[in-house]
Amino acid sequence: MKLLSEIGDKMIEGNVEELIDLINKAEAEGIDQKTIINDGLIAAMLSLGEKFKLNEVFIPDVLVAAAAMKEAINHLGFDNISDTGSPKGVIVIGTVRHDMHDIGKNLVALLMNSNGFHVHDLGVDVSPDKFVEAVKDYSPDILALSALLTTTLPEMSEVIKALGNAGVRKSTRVLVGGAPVTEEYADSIGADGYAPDATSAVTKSLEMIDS
Amino acid sequence: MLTPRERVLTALKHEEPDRVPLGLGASGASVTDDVYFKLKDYFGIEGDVEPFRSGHGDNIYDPRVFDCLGVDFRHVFLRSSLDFKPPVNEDGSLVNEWGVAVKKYGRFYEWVSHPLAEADLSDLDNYKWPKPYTGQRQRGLQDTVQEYYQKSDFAIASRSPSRGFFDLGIQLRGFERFMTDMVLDKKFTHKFMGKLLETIIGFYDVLLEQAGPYIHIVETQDDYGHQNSLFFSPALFREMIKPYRAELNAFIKKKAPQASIFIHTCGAVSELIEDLIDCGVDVVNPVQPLAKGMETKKLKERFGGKIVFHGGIDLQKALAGSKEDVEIEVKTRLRDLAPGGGYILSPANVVQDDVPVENIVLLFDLARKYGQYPIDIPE
Repeated sequence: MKLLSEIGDKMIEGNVEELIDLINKAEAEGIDQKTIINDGLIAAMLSLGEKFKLNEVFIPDVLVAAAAMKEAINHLGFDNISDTGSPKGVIVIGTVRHDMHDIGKNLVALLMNSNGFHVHDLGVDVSPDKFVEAVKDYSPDILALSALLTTTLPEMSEVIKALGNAGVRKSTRVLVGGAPVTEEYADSIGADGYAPDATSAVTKSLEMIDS
Repeated sequence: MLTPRERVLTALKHEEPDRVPLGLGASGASVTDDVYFKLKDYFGIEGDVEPFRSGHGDNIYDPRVFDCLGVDFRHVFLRSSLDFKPPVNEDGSLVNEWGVAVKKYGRFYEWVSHPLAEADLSDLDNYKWPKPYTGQRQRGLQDTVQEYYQKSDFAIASRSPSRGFFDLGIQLRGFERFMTDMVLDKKFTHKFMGKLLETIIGFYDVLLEQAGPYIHIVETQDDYGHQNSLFFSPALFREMIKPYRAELNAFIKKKAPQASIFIHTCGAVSELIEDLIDCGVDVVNPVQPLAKGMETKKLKERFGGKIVFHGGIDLQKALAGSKEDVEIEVKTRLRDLAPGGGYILSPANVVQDDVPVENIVLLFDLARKYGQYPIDIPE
């Protein structure tokens, strides 16, 4: 529908004022909130994510769109997109111990959330024990681990061991990513999935939840 | 055999010297303090040198270590201001001259505050910017640079006295805020970049005022890429950063007309190289070979003869790997980048603590061995 795709376009431009006007117009025309959110906002975010993966758009474009999306969601009366219907899944995400880098991790969390996941972000320098605790508390569908440094990469394996020791390894799926991470490494430590970039983290998560 | 200086100057002219020049100790292409001490022990060097700065991964410049590796350079630099004592926060972080709190976590220093996060246009006028002309930062510089110039035959490079526009933008404003500002608040961003330019030019003014004529390579830095891509589109770079970078380069050229301008910019930056050349950059570092689009063979085909490549030796896998990995890496980069000149071999970033000292020594031994012109390294 033309109006829904215009809503998506305004979100991507970061033009909040016109975005809100169009959402009001859509509601006045009797389009329900769920359709506006799914077919207007989330659909546009998904296609932006694909362009981001292909380096056709860049981090500022994603951040601008996500900020506009948040405004739209708030305007529709929700705090967070994951509150707008049944979330696509629950994610616990964090950067591993001794690693303070969060640009990539934040971007993954943002894209996950913009695509309808409920995200618990544990921040940076997260110990294996904290990951285990969060898995027990939130029962996530996916535990997403990030590392930027070759020196902190082994921490990913420590987290997986700690999940095993605590008897919760089978209750979640572990997704790993970050500059030094490779598919082979992910396999070697017994992770369930590997994502080479933020967009793939979303598509991989959707796949893992469906499987 | 050429002197180190002749070797570097020949390579900078895109001609083949006797062998590929070797670099280490540059901005974003040196060794961490930990690696420095291990190298010093390895070569049996005694006596300490005073760090020239603090709060970074690499804070020590000791040419004795670099000479043992056969490096062709001497570096000069500004020192920390004598007038500025960094305030210490309760959490142990130190506030640097830009007003950004820096804290050490493990082996790395991270920025833990973004003082301009909530700033508006008028706050930019009232902000306490660093004062480049105070604190005797250039102490000892003139004697050192003249001694290197007259009494040694090394090529002379000056380390970057300041971080660049994008790095400072995200430190002062915060990553997400600065990124969205570049798209949504262009007026603020232009004024902000203008303020940064004024301050950064001040640092280069102090550095080059007297030393300018003696320097062969003036180093600058600003990180535009990550592993998979640029941080922003080339179009946004052209609009929001390039004009300021061009003005800085023009200033440097005025103060040191004979010098080549070097930029350290990590990650996947191949799509900006044309713009960098266009705004006056002569040498690009670190040529991070595993980042997307940074395949060295392709880079040489696209930009060889137009820009000098400095770096190229992968740290993410090869240098932390086996002796065989190091050998393959050296041969590959020499084969790809060295023919025709225009290549200075160096690790593609600050060598980190996970790299064995033996691999660094091997790297430079092999670079001297296989880097003899004409380059003839069978596949």
